[in-house]
Amino acid sequence: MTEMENQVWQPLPGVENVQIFSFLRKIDIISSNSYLVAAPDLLMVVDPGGLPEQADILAGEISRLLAEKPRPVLVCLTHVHLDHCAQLMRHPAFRTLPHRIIAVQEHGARALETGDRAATIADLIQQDLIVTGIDIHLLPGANEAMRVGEEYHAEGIVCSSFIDSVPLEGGKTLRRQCIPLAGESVLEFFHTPGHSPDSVCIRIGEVLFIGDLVFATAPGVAGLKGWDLEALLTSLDNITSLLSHGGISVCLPGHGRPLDTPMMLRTLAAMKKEAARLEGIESINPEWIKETAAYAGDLMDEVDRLFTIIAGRLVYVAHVLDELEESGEADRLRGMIDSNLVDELLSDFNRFSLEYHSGQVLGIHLALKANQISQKLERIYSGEVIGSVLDLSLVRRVERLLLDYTITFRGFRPHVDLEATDISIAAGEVASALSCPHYRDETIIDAESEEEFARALALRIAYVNPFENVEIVYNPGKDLPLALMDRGRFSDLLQYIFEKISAAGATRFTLTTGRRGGNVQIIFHCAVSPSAFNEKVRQFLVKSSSLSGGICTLSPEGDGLSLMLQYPAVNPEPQYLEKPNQTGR
Amino acid sequence: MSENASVISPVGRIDAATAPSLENELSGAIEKGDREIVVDLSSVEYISSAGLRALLATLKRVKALEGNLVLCSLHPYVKEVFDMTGFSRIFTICNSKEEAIRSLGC
Repeated sequence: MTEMENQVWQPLPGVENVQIFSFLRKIDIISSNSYLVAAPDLLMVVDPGGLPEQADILAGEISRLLAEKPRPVLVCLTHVHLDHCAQLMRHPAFRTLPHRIIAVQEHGARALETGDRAATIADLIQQDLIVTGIDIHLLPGANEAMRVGEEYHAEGIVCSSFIDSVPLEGGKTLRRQCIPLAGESVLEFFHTPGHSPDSVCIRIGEVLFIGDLVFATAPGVAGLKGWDLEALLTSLDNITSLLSHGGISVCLPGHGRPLDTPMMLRTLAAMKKEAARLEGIESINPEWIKETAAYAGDLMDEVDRLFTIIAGRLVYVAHVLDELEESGEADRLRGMIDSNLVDELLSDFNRFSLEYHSGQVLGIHLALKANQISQKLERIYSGEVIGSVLDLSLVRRVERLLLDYTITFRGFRPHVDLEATDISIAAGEVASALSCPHYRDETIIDAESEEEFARALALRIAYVNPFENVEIVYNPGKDLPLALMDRGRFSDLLQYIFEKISAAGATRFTLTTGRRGGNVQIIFHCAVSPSAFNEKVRQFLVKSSSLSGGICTLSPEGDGLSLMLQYPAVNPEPQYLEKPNQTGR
Repeated sequence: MSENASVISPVGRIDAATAPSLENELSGAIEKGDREIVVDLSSVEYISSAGLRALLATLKRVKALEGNLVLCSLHPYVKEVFDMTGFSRIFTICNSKEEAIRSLGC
């Protein structure tokens, strides 16, 4: 494969007298890669990108080449998402380019000509959209008249074009539109919808410009306006066939590094499997982004708290072991998690979150950042190792939160496993687990080796009961119908509530299960100010309650507060067939 | 009242970015001879494990010099972290700066 050097003119593989200049960027949603192609009688730009400084460099190269030899400049867009084309409309040099011809697939051309904010994702990235006329509407729908040998006139220049089909495997064909480039060489445009309805791949010689085809199944991308699973699967098959036919050595993506053909074929095969799992994905629209960004903020606050508790408790246990001259076991515990890295990641997210709240970054950026951080945390966190020392509830909750966010960010709803549950038993188990240590003193006494002794000791020290000074009074209701809930999530939620009530300074609280109408409920009463449950805590409670299958209501009561969780009863008596009360929280 | 106790009052977040400067400040106090130190956390709304480690490292250092370090006025979130991690068992935690200074016998 020919190596594509960044921002260096080099021969374009497979075509004589044609050079290519690649402007390659790290993957982000601000701007795409851009490519310039120089033929003796035509310059071509593929995706001018979204950043002014990027367009400055491209415009400088174009200006230099035009000074050497004036010729038309054909601007082609792989699709009209603004990260690929904003500078075409905004940058002064591109707006005033002499002999400019713009070629965009029919759907994208219409979107730019009508100012379609959704199709260009201007609504998602909150940018202005400048309505722009398009000279060549590429590959119009099959229902439109086939335009063979058509000529486009723009800026006093004539650009000829024709549409035909290339044969693929299994007797299939793929429509293409061709524009002469140099000598016998042509630019070939293939319609590859899926990522967007206007996506095209462009072939010149051995090079295939693939736009965002390889990102079409990525989280936060799949489900965008115009995303089409069925069309994507067809496009993946078509490009696989095209590449398998031979003659293409390098694929130039809209973001990131070039791919050679074998790598591209492996990527397409993996995408087909991935795409098959995307049935039912939610639409990525401004509402989704707003909700996901808000969820990211709430979730990362709780992830932050839990990681601080986990890392801090390991430090605590290691410290006590050091004091007991068990430095070997202390070092083992310190090595269980890279606390510095965790701290840096969470601190990084906090900075980003502050920028989001001050309007410096967009919701989509916050959602992406949370995804990036949660992926990194998942990689450095081993629940199995930490669970061998610390409270399993902490481990389980962290894992669930990270997984929930990953699923949400991928455009799906977190998995909820509703089952008929005896709420009194479930709540009783959580309450009794609070005062029930997960170690046995006998393990220390019976230890047969130094190592066993040190580990048993670590387990004993790691047992921290934050509720030891809190009196919990539990009043389970009698003969309650079963409740429909996700029991695991319910247990996590109760644990969270206990922790928050305890942190608010309560020395005593009561817990009562009962029924009301067609619902089964659990109510916490405690003498702490409702203001101790700030807005973030309330939001997290509401979200967690909902995921567990219930509704949370928090209200002042005398000198304290009452917190109620309600779940629908399984087979309630007929007169109670109503929905849970949804007012307040 | 605080003639013999050094009171250090960090502000904001004690996390990966700010813990080193807090630890430096505490080290500076020890190096200039302070042995009775109060860390007033009334203006700290967040502490990460890096913050906990910085405080613990200082506690160990000052105890080795037969001094003491006391914390006071913990924000509810910070108190929760101390309780949940077990750090409440390592540190003397007072409700107010005055109480903390008194606990040091100053």
